[in-house]
Amino acid sequence: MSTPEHDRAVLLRYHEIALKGQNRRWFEDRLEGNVRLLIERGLRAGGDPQARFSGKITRQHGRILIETAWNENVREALCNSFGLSSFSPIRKVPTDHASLIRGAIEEVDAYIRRHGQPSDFRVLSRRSDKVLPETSVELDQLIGGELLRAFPGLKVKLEKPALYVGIEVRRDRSFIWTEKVPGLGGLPVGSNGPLLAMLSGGLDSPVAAIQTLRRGSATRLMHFYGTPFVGEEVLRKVIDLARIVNRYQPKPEPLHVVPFGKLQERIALATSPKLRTVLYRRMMVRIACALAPRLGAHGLVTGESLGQVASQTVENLATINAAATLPIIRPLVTCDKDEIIAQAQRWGSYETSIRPGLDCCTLFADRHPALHSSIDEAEAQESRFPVQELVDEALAGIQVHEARW
Amino acid sequence: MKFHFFDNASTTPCCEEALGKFRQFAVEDFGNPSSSHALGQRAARAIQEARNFFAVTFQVGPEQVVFTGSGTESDNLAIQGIALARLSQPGRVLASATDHPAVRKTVLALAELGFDCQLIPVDRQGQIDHGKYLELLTPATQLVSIQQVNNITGAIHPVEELARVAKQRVPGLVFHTDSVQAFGKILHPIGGTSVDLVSISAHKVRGPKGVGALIILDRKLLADGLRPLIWGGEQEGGLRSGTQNAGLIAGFHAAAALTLSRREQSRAHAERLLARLRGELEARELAPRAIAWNSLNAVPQIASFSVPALPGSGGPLSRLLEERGFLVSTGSACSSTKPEPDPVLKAMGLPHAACTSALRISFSELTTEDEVTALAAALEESIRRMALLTGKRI
Repeated sequence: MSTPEHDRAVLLRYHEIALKGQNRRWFEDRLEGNVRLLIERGLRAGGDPQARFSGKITRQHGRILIETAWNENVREALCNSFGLSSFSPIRKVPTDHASLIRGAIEEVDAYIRRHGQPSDFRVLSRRSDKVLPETSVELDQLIGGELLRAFPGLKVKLEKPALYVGIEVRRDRSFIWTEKVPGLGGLPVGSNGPLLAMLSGGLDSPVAAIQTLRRGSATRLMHFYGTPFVGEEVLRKVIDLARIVNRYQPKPEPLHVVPFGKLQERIALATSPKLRTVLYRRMMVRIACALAPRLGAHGLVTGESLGQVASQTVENLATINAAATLPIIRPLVTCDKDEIIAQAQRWGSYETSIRPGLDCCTLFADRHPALHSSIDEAEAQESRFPVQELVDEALAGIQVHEARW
Repeated sequence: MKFHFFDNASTTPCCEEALGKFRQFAVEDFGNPSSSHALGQRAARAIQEARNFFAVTFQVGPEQVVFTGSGTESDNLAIQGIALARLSQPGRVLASATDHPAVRKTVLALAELGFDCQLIPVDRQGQIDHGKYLELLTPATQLVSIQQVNNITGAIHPVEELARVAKQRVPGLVFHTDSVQAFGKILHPIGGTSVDLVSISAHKVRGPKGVGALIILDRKLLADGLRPLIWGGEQEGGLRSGTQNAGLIAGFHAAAALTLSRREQSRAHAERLLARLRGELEARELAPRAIAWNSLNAVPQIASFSVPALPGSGGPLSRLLEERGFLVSTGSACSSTKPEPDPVLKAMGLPHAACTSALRISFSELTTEDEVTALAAALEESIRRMALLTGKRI
């Protein structure tokens, strides 16, 4: 009882963006474009770099409909798309009683063949167009009754049944679904302005970057590379982390790598070990603020969380902020390490983040760094080395690495 | 950039003889050694010749030579192979606390199967603590694995003596040694000694990567004492199934023959290099003030030392040396936030500062005395630079 492919489609649901009033069209455009790019990415993974997704994508009644058969590629693409509350593979049938009932029976039959007999079920009807005489509840009862007759082993359960049979009644063709996959939520990438995320190689920064994507900002990516004092394994690890961030980004961003070890060496030769970590961070922020506009980014994203390490006290964050000319977004600012680890596991960055690789921030720094720095102190130390010259040198030395998922 | 390679304990460049064999059996005589046709039999003949070479080298029968994919696999076959054959009555298994992870982790993993796994403590020189060793050798002990030469410090363990002592206490136990670092540098155990199983690897002796061997010195273990880890077409006497790579095995044979034939002259050469290194460091007033040697009774090819005045500097120092064209190894692994001491140095009881500032310099017959002099100069420069950067006095 297979259905022709043109009767198959995938229905996307979204909630947050539906609330955005005037902007709704704009958000839907982003979501649609993202989904198309992510599906194409999957097609290209098959080996054809020119593969295009030719399926039609339409919008109806606060839903997006993709004309495509259901497969693992589509599922993967949708599982990586921010802005979806859920999605379902659907079957389209003519909007009349006989077609709806026959379609529902066939879909339940297909479900049972795939997953086995469910303990219970219910029909969940929704009328986008009121073209049938019945109310939603009456349709539930009508189609539910026919399903009970066709599958005598089934039982109806209205609260949390094992199987929902979804019916969406529309003017010409109505939809039937039996599977509803939860989406990632958030906002579609590109619905907010781009930001520049600083990736360190630890647990926090990739999570911060992905959380930012989830709020709709595409993230450009940069890394401060402690070469020659840290080895290339650190760079490879950060490239791998950038790839994981790009998994959730329909347009993958390359990683901008700033050579930083020599700069740290210059700072270390001139300054107090107690302040070095804060001074390094201020230099990073200056370099990032100079790079961001070139990449079209309006602010920075870091993985800092309050009090996690010595450089992340309120006073030190204030000293670091004072060097910035753009806003610094810190999505993890109130997170515990446990919460960050749970997020890293959710997004799939955990295993890569815990690979060995030394963070450059601690290079030449005192084991007991200053907890309460002041802007004056930092500026006094910075008068001992040529700040702008080092920023310019760092910018000139940036190398760009591909990091496609 | 042309590098001076001082990391020969990690691996060595493949010699031309071995490379030629690899090519020959990859593209010309590429038959499957299990095939009975001419091309297959050429490959089979090369494997037989290699097997006979190692049999003579270790004074055993050819069937006591099992080719594997690496030294690590040989260690696993020995340890797990012995343990799995004794699964009905799991007893005690010992390894030295400074053994290579291929041994240490394999032994400790046996705890999940019900074995009583213990690590034998070592002293500050990395030598087995004899008293503790005797205490640990209970009648329930089934397997002891102690490496012949430590891969981090170069410390030599008298494995034949240690095996004899163990068997006097517990006559039935099996003694395995990881000779991966020792093979080609010092004399290895042979048939008739108290050692039962020996692991070796090709790429440490200028052979190709991806091939090793387990030598079963005690032929009684062939009968049913050792259980395979990889099942299939019964290659390697059923102990390691899977189509053999005749090129890698023949390359191993060629490289091992070359390395063993030059063992004495290589050793004398390494001793000269080590003396040069020590002399240069003393002349530069680094040793003994800033530099602490980590093992006295070591092979001359491996020099391990720490710079305890610069804790955590192992990684950065190795990078500074690399920048100057010298490749060495650190004695520490870097976690994501702070330098972690190497388990070997930690087990030797070295202070944290020494563990996290350790470097390993390892020579080969290709290393020259001039290179060593240049290395010492680069080392001095790097150490003084790190001292300056971290505000420490040297």
